[in-house]
Amino acid sequence: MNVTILLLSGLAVGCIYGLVAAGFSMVYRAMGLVNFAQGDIMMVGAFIGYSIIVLGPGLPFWLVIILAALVTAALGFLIERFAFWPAVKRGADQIYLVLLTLGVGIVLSNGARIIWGANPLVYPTPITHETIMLANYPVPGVYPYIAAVMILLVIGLQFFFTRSWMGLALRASADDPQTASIMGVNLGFASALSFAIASGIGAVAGVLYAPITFASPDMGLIGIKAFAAAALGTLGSIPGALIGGLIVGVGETIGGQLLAPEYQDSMAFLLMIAILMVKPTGLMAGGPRT
Amino acid sequence: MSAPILELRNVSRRFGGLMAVNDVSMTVQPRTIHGLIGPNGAGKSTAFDLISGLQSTSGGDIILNGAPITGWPIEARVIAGICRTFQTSKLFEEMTVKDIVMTGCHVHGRLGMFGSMFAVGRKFREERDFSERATRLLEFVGLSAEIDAPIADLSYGKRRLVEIARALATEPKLLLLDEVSSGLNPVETAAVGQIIRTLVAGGMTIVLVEHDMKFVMDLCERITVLNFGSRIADGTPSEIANDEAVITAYLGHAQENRTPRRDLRRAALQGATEA
Amino acid sequence: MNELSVPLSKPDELPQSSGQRRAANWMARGDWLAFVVLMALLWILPLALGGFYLYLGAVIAIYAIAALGLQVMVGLAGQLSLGHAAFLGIGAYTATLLEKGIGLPFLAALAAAGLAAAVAGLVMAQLIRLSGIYFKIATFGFGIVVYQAMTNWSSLTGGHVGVRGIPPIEIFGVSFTTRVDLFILEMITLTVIYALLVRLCHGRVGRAFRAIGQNEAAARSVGIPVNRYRMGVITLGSGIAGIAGAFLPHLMRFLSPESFTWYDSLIMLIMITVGGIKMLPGAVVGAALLTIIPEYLRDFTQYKMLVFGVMLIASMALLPEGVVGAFDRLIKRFVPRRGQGS
Repeated sequence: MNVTILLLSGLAVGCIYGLVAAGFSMVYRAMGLVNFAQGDIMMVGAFIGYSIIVLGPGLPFWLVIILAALVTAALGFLIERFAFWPAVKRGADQIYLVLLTLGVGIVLSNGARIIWGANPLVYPTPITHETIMLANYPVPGVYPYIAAVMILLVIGLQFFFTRSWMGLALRASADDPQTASIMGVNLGFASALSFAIASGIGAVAGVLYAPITFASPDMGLIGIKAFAAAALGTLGSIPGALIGGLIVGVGETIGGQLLAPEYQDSMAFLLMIAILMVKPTGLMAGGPRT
Repeated sequence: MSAPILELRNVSRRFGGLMAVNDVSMTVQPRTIHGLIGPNGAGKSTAFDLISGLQSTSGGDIILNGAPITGWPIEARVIAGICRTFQTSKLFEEMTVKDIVMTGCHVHGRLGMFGSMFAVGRKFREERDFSERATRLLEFVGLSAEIDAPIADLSYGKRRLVEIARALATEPKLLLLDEVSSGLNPVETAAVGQIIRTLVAGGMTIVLVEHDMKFVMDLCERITVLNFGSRIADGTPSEIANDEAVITAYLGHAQENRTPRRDLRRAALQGATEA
Repeated sequence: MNELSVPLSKPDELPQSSGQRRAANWMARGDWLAFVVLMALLWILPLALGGFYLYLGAVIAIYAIAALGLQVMVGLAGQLSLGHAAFLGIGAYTATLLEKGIGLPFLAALAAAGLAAAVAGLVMAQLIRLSGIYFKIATFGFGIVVYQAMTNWSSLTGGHVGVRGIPPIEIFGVSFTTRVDLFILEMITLTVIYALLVRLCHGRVGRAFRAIGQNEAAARSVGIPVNRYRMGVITLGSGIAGIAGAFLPHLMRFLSPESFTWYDSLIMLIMITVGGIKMLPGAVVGAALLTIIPEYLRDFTQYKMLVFGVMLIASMALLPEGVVGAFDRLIKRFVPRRGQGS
């Protein structure tokens, strides 16, 4: 297979991983919570996107992305409020929290299976079947969207977290909850909001990924590789997560195709382990909450 | 003077641009109570971390009984005879008081994983030995009534005593007590003071990091003072009480606050006369 | 050794009240009591009821062994492993391939399975250099990598197709071909391992494991060699899972990677959580519960994982100490603690 196509494909899937990983790192940074349900939230987002398309067949794709993100963000907000915040607030230990997120993930993925069925669903939009020409190579029509979203999101998140009051408040409550709370930030709301944003980002990833393959309950497993991306980019660092996603995406696509196609799924973790052995707290080590 | 039990030679600890401990030298004589004081952020707890092995030095050497232990892992230092308590007691929240103290006996045990599983007589003897040591130590610190109580049931002051007993179980030659009186009422503080005196009379060396001036002045034979990571004074309690640099460090410029200085001198003189 | 020459009385003179001694022994006895009760139930019920219940008992026994290994790692020493099923699989494949390939007798294959899984555990334990959460993610990844190896290394493992024709068990010339025989073998293994683990918990090393699980910094500060013990407990727990794995193909009469997926790791975690984390009997109870309950949901197999997920969340919210913990609390209410402040 052509290296350029592999590279593009790797970058595209890497962006997806990066988005899910960014959501993962965001929650970790804000709440100290390792959210193993992040991949399942991505999957639910993809299904919600599917339903939106089914309900409103004429909607432009970018609108589907936004709507799915909003709905999933709302769902994430609720999950955080009712499932996670009570446990985090009473200082439950790490193992408890990990198992809790795992439990929520199971309920999400199996709930999705019940609602939307166990079969992978093809996204019924024109995008799914389009190919466009990029530098003389045919690529899936959703690639430009992926690129656009990534750029917009990176800029948007950067702006949000450094310039907007809300973003700064979120960062404050993550870095120093006590002071933030004294300054009037409602910690519970801040956590829920961070989680909601992370869920929204995950949904965006899901909606972008679905046209390339399918919307299926197994998507959560794909999101699992995002953990590897977030870890090797240093948990809690959003730039690290995005870069980590790209590394995993490209590494697994090229490494998988060129070396051992059957082990493609392992590539993500082998890469992670390799990088962590050299830099035990990830590539962006040295930042807060490592 | 006999050979020091502990020596810090030009010890430093740097975090990026910040020198938490800056070129500090200190000697501790055996069988003494040595104080390490200084205003908040002076680097006292960091110094303890460096001595106990929780953090590694950025420069300088730490010498125990004449042998350098710089760079040694914590386990090795405990075996060599250093043990340290923490400002907020770190205890095993799901164990009983006795179990907690028995964990301190660990370094003196021999049975490994397979021994614990298969040995019978040796294990019985080792467990009984640990149990007796723990019981004795708990009685020594005054907790005989709580030996089998779950730690969650104990008050703050008693938890502190459990932590001390656990540290004693490792049979240290050098005991580092980090703010041991913090949060204790006067009765509890006096009890701890008594424990410290008894231990040193029995041959132990104790270094105290402390904020409670009276406690330090009463107990310590020698005090080292840190400020902003550097050593600013080292001497007997009365020398320290009169040292300009110390007073300035704690109270700002000496001229502005006459009363506290008088108190400091008075406390030091009282300690000196009572000793 | 520093002589603590404080005015302490000699051990024999110690007026240690018999009440205190009894209380301490009671806790140790509590562990053994649970052991006896659970093992009695698990031995007797399947044999007495026979048939399908015997099969269930055999399944429970295997997962109880594996869950005990996980419990020692997670519940005791606080080392969360998200890829435990991988070690089950390594044990299963090692044993079966040796039995089929070179005709190794079962007992030796069992030992080899445990050893292989222990070695794999030791390899994974090298990752403890990574702090907390990175380690957990790495164990997760480890499970996935091993699963992929099992699936893709077709020349060795037969891949997805799996391995058939599991050789019958023969020990010192005695054949163990019926299900009852297999069950008895498994139960002997379970009983021995459970007993050894109880003994471990009552010793110096078990106490050190618990200390590490409850406050690693404090454990380190009293000289417990934390890193070495973390590696040790992971190796132990993984090896135990490997031993459990060796039995699985004999029971299923089939071996495929599908028994060792990420979900299976998760199920074992749910077992120890629902059963009662941090308590050895919790592993056995959890294994029993999560094996029996799906049988009553036969018609709802697609809901199996959902039910497990709900069980997990429900038990964490309502019964955070698990079934065994709740039971223990109930008992303590009726049996006064002796030796307190006497």
